[in-house]
Amino acid sequence: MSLGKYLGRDLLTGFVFLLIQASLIRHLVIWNLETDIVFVFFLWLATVRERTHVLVVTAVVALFADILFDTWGIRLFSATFVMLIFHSFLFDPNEQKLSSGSLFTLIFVISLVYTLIFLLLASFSGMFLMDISFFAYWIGGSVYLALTAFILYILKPE
Amino acid sequence: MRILFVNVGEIRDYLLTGGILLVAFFLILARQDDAFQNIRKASIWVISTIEKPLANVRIYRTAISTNSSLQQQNILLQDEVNRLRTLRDENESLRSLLGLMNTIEYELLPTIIINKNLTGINNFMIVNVGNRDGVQPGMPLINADGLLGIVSHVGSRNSTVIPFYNRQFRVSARVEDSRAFGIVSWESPRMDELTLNFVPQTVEVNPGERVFTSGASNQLPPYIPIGIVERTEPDPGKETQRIFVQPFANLSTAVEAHVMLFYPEAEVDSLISRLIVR
Repeated sequence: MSLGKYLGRDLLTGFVFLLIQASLIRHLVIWNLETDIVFVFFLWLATVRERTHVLVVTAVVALFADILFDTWGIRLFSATFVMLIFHSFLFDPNEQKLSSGSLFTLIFVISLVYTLIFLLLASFSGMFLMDISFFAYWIGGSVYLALTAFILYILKPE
Repeated sequence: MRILFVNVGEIRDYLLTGGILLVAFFLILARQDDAFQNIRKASIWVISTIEKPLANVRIYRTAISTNSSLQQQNILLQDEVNRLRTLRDENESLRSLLGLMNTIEYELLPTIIINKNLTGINNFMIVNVGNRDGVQPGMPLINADGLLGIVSHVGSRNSTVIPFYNRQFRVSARVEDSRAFGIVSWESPRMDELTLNFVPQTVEVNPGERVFTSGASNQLPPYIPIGIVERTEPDPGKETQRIFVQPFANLSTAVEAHVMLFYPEAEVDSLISRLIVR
């Protein structure tokens, strides 16, 4: 388990992503939808680190994101749960590249699950009303999140 | 005899996730608890520090449109002031006959909205005034158009505001002509209308009537403009109607605002709480 080796560096990177989310990305609202670059960081982390390490970093950064955006526990729950389930699909120590189509499909499915859990919990805590706009938020939010992750993956240096 | 133990290494991640999810679930349930107020204040400070430079950019970006809209409003208000001056003299003479006290006026604290989250989920705003300026939770945030929201949490220099497009927003309101009382909240999936509930169907409310705060709940002062009646429809299975209200103020373009330093009457609050206890 390489928990100690990269923990500090990954936490610091997570907080930098959180800062970028709070200052810039949160304002890129399209049709009342916003993307979550911190979750994109969790996805990247899951491709290169072991599950225990990913769960710890996700939990700490998501907890701070919850405090900062007043979503108390919602990000912590949804991000950690999704990382537990999907880590085995994402972790690739040999760095074998997936085709663009397969990669986008995988990211989109993960985004769908993450956004669904997030919205259900937001609805449970009274922050969000389950109505006709639920599907717009769910599908639209997932597409926006998946596109952000996909674009960042393409742009990332080798 | 050998005792078989489960290999902790294999289930370590599941145990860890279980613990994290329990903590998360506890936070979701206890999010409104007073114990988290200090952490909330710290998060308001962090967000406002990050957002302050961007808020200045936003002010300059909207300055021209705000200026022209204020000029238009100024012309309309001048016309209204002239009409009100004549009415004031008449009103004063009638008041002196009736022996009524003057209407209370409240101090307005100018502020800038330095952060806005209006995505539909947990909408909130942050303003750059706090308890060192005399701001307290429950005070209304207004601009030239009308009510924008209610202060929810107060830090030393910044405060969070629940805007009218928030599921937790509730304000006692009154319709101008029909004088019907009700509660305004945001129930629509759309971010351009509010709902006024609990008005009996027997009260006739017409589109175009203005909606104000009622002052009845001791939560907000009366006569703060909220919006204009768009349409009404009967509440299914109830004797009340739902009145759809288009807010006067535009949250998306609002940058400058005022916190109305309104302190609820403590005696009224204590009387209400005594009634609730009984």
